[in-house]
Amino acid sequence: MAGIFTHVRVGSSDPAASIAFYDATFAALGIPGQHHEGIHAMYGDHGTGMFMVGPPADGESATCANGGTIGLAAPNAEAVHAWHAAGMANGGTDEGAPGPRDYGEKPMVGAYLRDPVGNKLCAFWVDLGE
Amino acid sequence: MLNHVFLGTNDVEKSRQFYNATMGAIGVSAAGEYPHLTVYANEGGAVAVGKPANGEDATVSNGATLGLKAANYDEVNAWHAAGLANGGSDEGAPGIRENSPGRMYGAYLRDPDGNKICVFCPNAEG
Repeated sequence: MAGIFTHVRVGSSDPAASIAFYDATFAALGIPGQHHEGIHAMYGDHGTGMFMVGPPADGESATCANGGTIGLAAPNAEAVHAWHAAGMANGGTDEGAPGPRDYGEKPMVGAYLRDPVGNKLCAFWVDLGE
Repeated sequence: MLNHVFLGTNDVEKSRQFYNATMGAIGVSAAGEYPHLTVYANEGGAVAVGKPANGEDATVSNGATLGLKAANYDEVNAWHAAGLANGGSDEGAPGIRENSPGRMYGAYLRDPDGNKICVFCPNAEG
């Protein structure tokens, strides 16, 4: 079985707000979503790993981690910009504007957001020269 | 779609022991060990466990789970046992998860910092 991730899940105490945010931001990356009863949503597929959002299983309020970040792969630099703009227009907050990031040997463009709950996300396009 | 996931820790050595043991059980080795951070990676992406960038204490999310792939039941079982033996706590014993797609075999742990993680492999009955 290729890959490392089956899924990543984040919690939300306001699923409508979170789903609006993730619908818009995943659409910017070209990834469709599926909704379940209006309180859970999932994005992606089993091949690349899925992203899920919904209320915590224990019934308590959702909280965000300090030190946790979920990194998403963007198909090109334009998608990184579109992802950030879509998030800002749908209840997200800026954690780092789109632009080049000097994190490795290969050129890359990245951006950071927090979702409506405060979960920290980033989207990166890495120029593999393909 | 998923490129990497970063988890916070307040004790790099303790979390490194836990993740070296558990990631090793599913065939993923440490690709980089740094004073503040350990990175585990294969062709599908990377998991990094380290100190928060803002210098504050690491805290865990309620509602968040990181799911990782295992090849078979033996790996899931070994992952869970390795976690319990290296500072993790049980969040769900290895077994078939009836609500998962394809009735997968999985197990759940919390790492030494409390981050919730799980591993899943395909159902052997197909």
